[in-house]
Amino acid sequence: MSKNVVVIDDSFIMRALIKEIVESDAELKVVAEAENGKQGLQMVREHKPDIILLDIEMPEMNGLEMLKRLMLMGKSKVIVISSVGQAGSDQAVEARRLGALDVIAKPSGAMSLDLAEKRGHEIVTAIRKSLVMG
Amino acid sequence: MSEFVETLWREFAVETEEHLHLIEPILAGVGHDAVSATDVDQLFRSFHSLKGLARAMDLRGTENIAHQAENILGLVRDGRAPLDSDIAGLLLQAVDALSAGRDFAIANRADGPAPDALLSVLAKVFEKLGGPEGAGAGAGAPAAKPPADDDFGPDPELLGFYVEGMADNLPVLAALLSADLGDRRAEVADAIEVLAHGADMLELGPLAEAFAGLAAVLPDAGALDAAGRATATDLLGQIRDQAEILAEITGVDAGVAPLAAALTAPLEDDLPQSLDACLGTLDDLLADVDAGTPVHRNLDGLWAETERLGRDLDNVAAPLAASLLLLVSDVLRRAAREEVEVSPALLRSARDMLRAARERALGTDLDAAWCESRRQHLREILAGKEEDHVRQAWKIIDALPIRPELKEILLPQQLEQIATALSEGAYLYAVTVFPNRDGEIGGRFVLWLQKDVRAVSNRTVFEDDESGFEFLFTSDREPRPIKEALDALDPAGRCVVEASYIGVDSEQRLLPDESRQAAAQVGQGDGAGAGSGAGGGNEAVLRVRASTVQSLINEVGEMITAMAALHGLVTSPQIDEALAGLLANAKRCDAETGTDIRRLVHALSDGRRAVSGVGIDLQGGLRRLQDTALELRVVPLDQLFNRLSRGIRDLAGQQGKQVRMVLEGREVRIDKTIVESLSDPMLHMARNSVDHGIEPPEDRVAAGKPERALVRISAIHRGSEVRIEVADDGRGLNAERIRATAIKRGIVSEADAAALSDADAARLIFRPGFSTVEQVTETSGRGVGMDVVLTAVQRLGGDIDIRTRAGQGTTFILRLPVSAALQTAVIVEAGGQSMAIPDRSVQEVLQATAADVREIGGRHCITLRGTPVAVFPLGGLLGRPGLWGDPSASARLPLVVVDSGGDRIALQVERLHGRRELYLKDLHPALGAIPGVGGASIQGDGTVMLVLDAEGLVRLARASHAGAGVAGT
Repeated sequence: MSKNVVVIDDSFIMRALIKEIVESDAELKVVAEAENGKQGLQMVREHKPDIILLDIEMPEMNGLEMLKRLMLMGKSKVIVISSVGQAGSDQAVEARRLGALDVIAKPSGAMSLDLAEKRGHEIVTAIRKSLVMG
Repeated sequence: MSEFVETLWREFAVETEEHLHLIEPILAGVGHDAVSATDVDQLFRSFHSLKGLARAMDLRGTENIAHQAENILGLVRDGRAPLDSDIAGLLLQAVDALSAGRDFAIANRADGPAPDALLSVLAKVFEKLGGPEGAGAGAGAPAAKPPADDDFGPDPELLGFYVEGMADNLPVLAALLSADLGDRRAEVADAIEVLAHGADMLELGPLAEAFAGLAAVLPDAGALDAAGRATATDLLGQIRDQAEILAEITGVDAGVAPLAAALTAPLEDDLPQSLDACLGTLDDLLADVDAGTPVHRNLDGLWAETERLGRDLDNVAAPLAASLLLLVSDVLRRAAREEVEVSPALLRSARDMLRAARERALGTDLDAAWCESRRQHLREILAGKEEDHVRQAWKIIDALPIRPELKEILLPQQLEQIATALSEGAYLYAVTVFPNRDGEIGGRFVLWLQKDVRAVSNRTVFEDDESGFEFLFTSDREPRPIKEALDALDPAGRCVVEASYIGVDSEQRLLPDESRQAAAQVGQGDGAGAGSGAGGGNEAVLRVRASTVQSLINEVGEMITAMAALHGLVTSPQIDEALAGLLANAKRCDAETGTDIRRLVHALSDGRRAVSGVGIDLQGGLRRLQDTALELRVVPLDQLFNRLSRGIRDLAGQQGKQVRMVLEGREVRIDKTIVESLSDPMLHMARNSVDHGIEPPEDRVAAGKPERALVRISAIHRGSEVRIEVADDGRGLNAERIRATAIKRGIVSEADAAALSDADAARLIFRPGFSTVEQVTETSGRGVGMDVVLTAVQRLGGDIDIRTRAGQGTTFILRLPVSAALQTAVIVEAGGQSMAIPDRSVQEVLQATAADVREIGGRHCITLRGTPVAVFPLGGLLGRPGLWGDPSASARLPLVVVDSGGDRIALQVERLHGRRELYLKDLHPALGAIPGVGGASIQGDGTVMLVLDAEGLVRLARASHAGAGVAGT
């Protein structure tokens, strides 16, 4: 059975890219997208996804705020994919502290659109690993 | 995947353009148009979207500009700053910079140079207006907002009550960690039960579990044992964290402080040992790294352990030490999957942090500033190591006199390639080549480039519409042999127009030298590549002149017409007849001449079938080509709709009317030229609806209608036609008043007016010189009448219908071709000449007989589903003399019933040739003056076919029966 994924990112381009990456794995399906944490919470309640892919910097409600609320509501499996999620950043550490299963950096610099090629595998691997882990 | 990335760039180009288009008119209107709150919201959202789009493509400079503009608009939106012309001007500058940044990015796939001056002005203005206080936290500070707005699952009011309950009960729980519970056991048990129940009810799963866990370890008396104490500490730490979050969300104090204080005291005894174990592992790793052994596989255990210890420390409120451990854990975790490089510097920094945490575990308090400096140091190592080689390469390349256009498109790996080559003693060269000027030389050059040197990068350069390339390459060979090689390749300098050696601090021109000055004159100077921003051959969006697209569409159109003609020739009945004739005589001929005519005829007809088959394939291919060509000009109506809804809202606001807008079908796509030329007339029509159609709120209430009027603008796509409706639920058109006005203005006679149906009377508003409202208003009555609107629509090959009911509203229905160029038409023959009638005005085509025609009131009519429709000979209408003057005399009558805004007439023609798609050409002015002719189409054989105009034909028919009018529906 395929696993349901919700993608929360304020950039539609990023959402499209992440969706493309996620669905390159036949067993993963993006069932809903949201552009901020508030919408994200609604989507999570509505779809009860197996995995949530969450950006940090978003308007209305950012990813860390949403993560706090998710953690109050129950054990959601959240992977943070953010441009401020590089190794050792405050946001990455905070996201982990709040219970994110993994934090993946959107690469920065002129080569960013390598995301699909370079980080695509990483994202799918992280999702699969998270699905296995309690 | 890279194809997908191409798609993203394309979408980026399109989306950003749309936002920029939305922003500009609003800002440009500041000062003379009223700027509504909706406009400000729109501006804010568009800048925000631009920021997001730029970020998605990693255009930091562009993102920054949008961010600053968004900040300022945030203040405007919150009413903390005005949107005056100064600010609008500044924001328009930001728009220009965003536009430039966007264009640069699309051409180069990278961020352009940041306009620092503008950024600092924007930042200063933002600070002056209201500063960043509140704004920085604004994005994610729900505590500042009412809980109801938060969208967190549980009922906000109940959640508030629960947090108040926490404030009462959490301090009690601190007793759990005391040496002896004493007589407080019952109180603690109660507190746990109350809080567990509430958490359960509010579906706060993790909290409910934590309280249940506490209840399970609560001893009957005395104190917790060691294991129970560890569990309780862990659970209470979690509860404290969650309570803090709840307090933040609800804005209600959860009384966490006493619990947090109780948790600070005891650290687990084995913490220093655990940290010692981690430090030992880290030392081993360091030794491995120094010895060059790969280590990332050994990191998994270490990061997990440091994270566990970090969480423990966090639970017992040792935040500084906890944050150091969690940071180390995060970095090691990333190192484990090779996201960051495991360098000795990194491991030493991690060791420093673990040692500090150990100090804390042993009871020494940490210094916040020291911790921050350690964190900073680690980040520097991360940043440095990650891009060190690229940065090194940049340093080298930056110093080189490479042409900026070439430098900007260099990718990191190309930078490295150059840096590496230079460090190995190679030379760097630039050469400009126009390989197409001489195919042989061009080919030799490309071979040489591939085999003898190492090409690094290239960009396209244009010169007099001719495209060439500027290559950057490295070679171990010195400038002199390179120049000699190029000279040998192209002695006259036909293709290789320029070559330079790029030295460490100077550029040395190799070619053209004095001996070749004359031959290479065209290639001189840095201007050789000017205007070719889109370099590197990887452009996402191609900017093409509209006229180029138009000529492509025209060419394709004519090819299709030619193809149809060819197909017609191949399958023509004359050939059938000829072949049949041959066959009929075959026997006799064969006998006389001894040939096998039958076989030859079969061969001919097989060949004909094959040609026809190829023709069908070609037609299919051409049609796809046509679709693609048309697609080039087709854009969504979105922008037009936005403009309309803005116009309507603004006007309604000015007139104190309340309007609800419904926009449907904004995704419907239509030719860009149509959108552009439709924009003004439609805006006029929409404003007319508000101005004349919609009653003031009090009148509406008196008429028993909702105070707020409804204006619905909708678009649907049907075949090659788009239908746009502008509907209001206002007072409707008053036919009587329209008649009266038309008579007063001398547009119709009293008798004519009386004869008109209400529907026909409504159409009088499209006549030149008509205006229904006595008091000319500032908005709709500025001299532009509905006649201008109709003319504009008709010029685009469309038409307008009106539907109106007194007191219930008016609907204007615009029918437009999707493409301004493409028209389906019914081809008829009249007066011995083929003509086309646009399909959209043809209601039906029928074969009547003379018996169907009756004379009613001196006119020839046929009855169509109970309604009489006047019949006119088409040739006669167009002033061609001929035998078909009296329809009743002919036995068979091919008729084409055309409809123009409700007026129907039947055109009698000599022959019907079916439907065909035609490409309309702009009319020669002389042709345009002929009434009833709307356009022309060039046929495959080069002849011109006239395209008739139903509106004009109806007018001609009306004139031919002067004073008698035309049968209406």
